[in-house]
Amino acid sequence: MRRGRWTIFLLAVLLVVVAFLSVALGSTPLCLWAAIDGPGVDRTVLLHERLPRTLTGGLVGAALSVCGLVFQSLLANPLADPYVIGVAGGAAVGGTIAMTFSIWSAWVGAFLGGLGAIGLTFRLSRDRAGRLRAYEVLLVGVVFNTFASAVVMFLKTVVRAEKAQEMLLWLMGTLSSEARGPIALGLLGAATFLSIGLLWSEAPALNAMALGEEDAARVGVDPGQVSRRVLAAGALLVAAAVSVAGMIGFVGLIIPHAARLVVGNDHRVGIPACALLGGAFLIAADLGTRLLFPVFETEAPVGVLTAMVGAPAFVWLLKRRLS
Amino acid sequence: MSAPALCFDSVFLSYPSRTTWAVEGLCMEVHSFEVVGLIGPNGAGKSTALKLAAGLLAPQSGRVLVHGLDPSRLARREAARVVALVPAALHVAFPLTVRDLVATGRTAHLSGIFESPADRQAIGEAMCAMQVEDLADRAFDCLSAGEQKRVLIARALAQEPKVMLLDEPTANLDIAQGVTVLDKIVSLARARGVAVLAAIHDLNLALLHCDRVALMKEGRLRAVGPPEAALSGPTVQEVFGCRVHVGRNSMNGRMFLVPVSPGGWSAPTDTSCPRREPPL
Repeated sequence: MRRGRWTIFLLAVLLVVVAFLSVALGSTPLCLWAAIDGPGVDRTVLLHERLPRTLTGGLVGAALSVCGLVFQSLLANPLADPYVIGVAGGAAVGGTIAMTFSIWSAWVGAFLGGLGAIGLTFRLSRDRAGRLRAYEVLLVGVVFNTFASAVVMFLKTVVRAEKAQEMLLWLMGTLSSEARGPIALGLLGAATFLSIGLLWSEAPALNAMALGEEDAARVGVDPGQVSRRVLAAGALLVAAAVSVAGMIGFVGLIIPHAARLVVGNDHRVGIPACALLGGAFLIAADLGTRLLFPVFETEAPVGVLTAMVGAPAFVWLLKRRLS
Repeated sequence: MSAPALCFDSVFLSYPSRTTWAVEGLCMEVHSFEVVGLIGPNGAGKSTALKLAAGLLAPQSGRVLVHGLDPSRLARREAARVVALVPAALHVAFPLTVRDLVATGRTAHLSGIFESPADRQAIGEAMCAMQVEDLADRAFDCLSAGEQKRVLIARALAQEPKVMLLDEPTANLDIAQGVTVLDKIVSLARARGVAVLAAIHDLNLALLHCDRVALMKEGRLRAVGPPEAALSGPTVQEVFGCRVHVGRNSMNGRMFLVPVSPGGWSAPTDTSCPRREPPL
């Protein structure tokens, strides 16, 4: 526990440093002193571009990482990620429908779609006694995601080309969308802090659930109750994250494993560690896309970067585990 | 005698999609300070009986009482403070340290999310009792079968239960480990007044360590009593369908059982692999 506290402190320092760099650096030069000094171009860039972007990155990174960690433990499956329970598919369908018909902002559609998908997944994965079965949630979620990706593909083929391009960029995941306003950011912040707090209070139960439902019951955990709470809090996290930033891949898979390597499998330390590390990672990845801007003359979606870094890193972890 | 710590009162249970009873009319009592061995062939209903006692399954008819309370109706948190079940083996999906695993035994005692000094003391004492302190920072999945078993028993001790259930505590253990583990369990029962019910496959270990044994076959209790009386040659043959030779250990006068194959002993007649001269 003592070592855990030090690690948390160091991760918090890392997050602060990365966040500062993300605010200070970017494709347009920014003088922080001028921004603090008074109104002007620098202040506008700071308040309307850099700060919201950094905040979004930190919140989305934390949300996805914590969600990945708790889903892996809940399902006792190291390959689970935040998107497995069908929320991602629902959010993608909701977002693309909103874009196709231009009814709401994409993020509103995505949020509603995500919540709808969770409701559906939960309904379909109850057993005869009405209990939620974590394993069935996983299966139904995977099937639902496949179905949803077919719907999204269909929508992409029927809309105009520039709309399809817009959808593609949104689906790949980006933190730079101008469409979301302070309301979306505020909701994301509230959902993230509330859900992570709830999940942290379930940390001892999650420690037991990581050993499997049957074993958790032996040491005094009600698996059904914990599954319900964790899935609900996790679903809120994913819905909020996906609706604001799209499908940013691999953060929710790789960060939990990295955190487990550093602090072990105790969720009392693991959840805050994941939140800090995930936030720092996504902010850094986003900063990377901005710094690579001069090279490619365009900004690659951050989801592409995390997947390109995350996939090899995950294979490396897997190989290390097998050897 | 005082009220039993664990009581099965004509308990019936069948699994869905099965037509036969997994446990049929089980009546049995286990008292504090007592070690009872549950013996029977695979599929006899031993593990089901243990799950019933732990409250992980609810009987379809009859009652299971642990210190007067029905464990299947208690909240899991309440039940786990009274009764602990040590599984035959535990597969972990994540590399968990031994200390973290033993700490999960305190889940039902935690107030808030952090361990109190009392929790830490219980964890320390449990690890000390099962001699796994040296393994505290090792990964559970990298331990030997005997070490894993000791860790799982230590976790059950950290629960500070009044009734301890063990599913095959000596399976996969070598002869010395098996004796050591059962010796520990017996001394814990005596020292802490825990009632122990253990499903054991090794008849000779049961003869050595149990105060009483209960023989089960096809969900029904066939015999219960002191080990040497209950495990008589004819009863064992009836329950297991295997002839046994009953002998006396000349060192301590204790009874032992060895199987006798139906056709009697015969020399191996395998000629498919001709014997080769050892290389020089």
